[in-house]
Amino acid sequence: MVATRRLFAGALTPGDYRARISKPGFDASDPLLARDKLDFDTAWPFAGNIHAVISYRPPNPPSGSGFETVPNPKTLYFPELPYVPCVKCFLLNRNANGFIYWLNQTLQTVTYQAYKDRLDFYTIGTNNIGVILVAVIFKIPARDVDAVGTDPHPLARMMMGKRGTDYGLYASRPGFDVRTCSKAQMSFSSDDDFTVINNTFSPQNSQKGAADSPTDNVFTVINFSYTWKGYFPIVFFFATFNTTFNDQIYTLPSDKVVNTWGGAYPMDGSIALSSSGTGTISIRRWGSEAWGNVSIIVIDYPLPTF
Amino acid sequence: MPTKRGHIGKRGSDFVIQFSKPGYDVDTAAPENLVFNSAAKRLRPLLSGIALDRPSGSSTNIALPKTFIGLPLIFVDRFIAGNGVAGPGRGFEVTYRRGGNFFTIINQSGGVATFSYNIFDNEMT
Repeated sequence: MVATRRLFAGALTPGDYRARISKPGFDASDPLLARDKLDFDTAWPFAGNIHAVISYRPPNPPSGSGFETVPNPKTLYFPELPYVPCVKCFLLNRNANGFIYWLNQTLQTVTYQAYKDRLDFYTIGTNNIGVILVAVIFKIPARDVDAVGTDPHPLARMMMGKRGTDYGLYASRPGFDVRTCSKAQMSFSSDDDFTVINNTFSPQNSQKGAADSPTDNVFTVINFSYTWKGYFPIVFFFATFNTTFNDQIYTLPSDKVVNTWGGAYPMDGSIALSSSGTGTISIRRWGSEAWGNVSIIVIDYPLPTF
Repeated sequence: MPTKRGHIGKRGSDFVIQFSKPGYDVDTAAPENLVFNSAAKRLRPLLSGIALDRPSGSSTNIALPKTFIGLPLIFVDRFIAGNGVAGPGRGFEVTYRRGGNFFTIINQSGGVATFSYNIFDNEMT
């Protein structure tokens, strides 16, 4: 019996050099193998790695819980990439580390426009803020400016071994020589800083909220845990809601105003983290007749500190 | 004899690609002394692509290759001008129904728009 080839390094198709590891029972050398049957592929762009975390804290007042009017949009800069990256934006409590807003009652929705080196951060609601604006910049092309209309994750060039003073596995973006290009021009470099998931939380069972009326300000509280690594980590939070159990809806922007009562009392909420590795999701005005579920990803990457 | 810093092949019952920090033998290094470990838990790309030239007001369903217990990490961006993207809430919206096998891009902008999407599998199975 011939074992399935689970490790592959070489030309997958003519000109497409990759290293891949497949899941048990699947052939890593199959160019048509679906992504969910792979554990690793150097052509992945690259697997959720974080390029930068940028933030803005209104300078005045320098401390305390005061509010300040800031430009809307507020432009934030990051080290330039050879493509427009995918980003996630969220708000952070101004006074307490590890206190991420799922939805801020005043600012409501946050959104953005992104370019290769900067981000315009928009708040929909007021721009008189007392919170910190945060944007996570991923090494994931949202748009290859030179490749409009094609797969944004084109073929890679690859080498294993010594590259300068480094030693490892490298794959460059199209048009760049993997032996000489910069790290920013690579789709994969084994000596990059790899962003790792600390924990995920996806309960299978949905639940109803704790608020008994549109004006009931009670919080529905859900606890989760993560491994404490010495800092408050970035957490991505998602939630689905609806009055129908089997038709709960998740909407992007994920912090868009949600109202389980159909009136003028939208939910808001936050995620509080503690140094013991526990977290608490608190959602206000989640109706007792509304089904909902939450899902989070804890990333081993620190929140900005001030 | 130089330190072995790279390993490509079997490690126990798993196939891995691993590289260690300078001075550490990749076969015996502790996890924190590896510069790369293909077996580490990361966001795994599941699906990516482009929805080209979607009319104003249109809804575009994108099929997912698996059904999630929770929610996938979804990135969707709308191409703007010659060199930028806009996020959800700026001319479009994205919806996903829990347990569904597709998500929907709703073009709320006043014109034809092109969208890119990247879906990451955060359920480590």
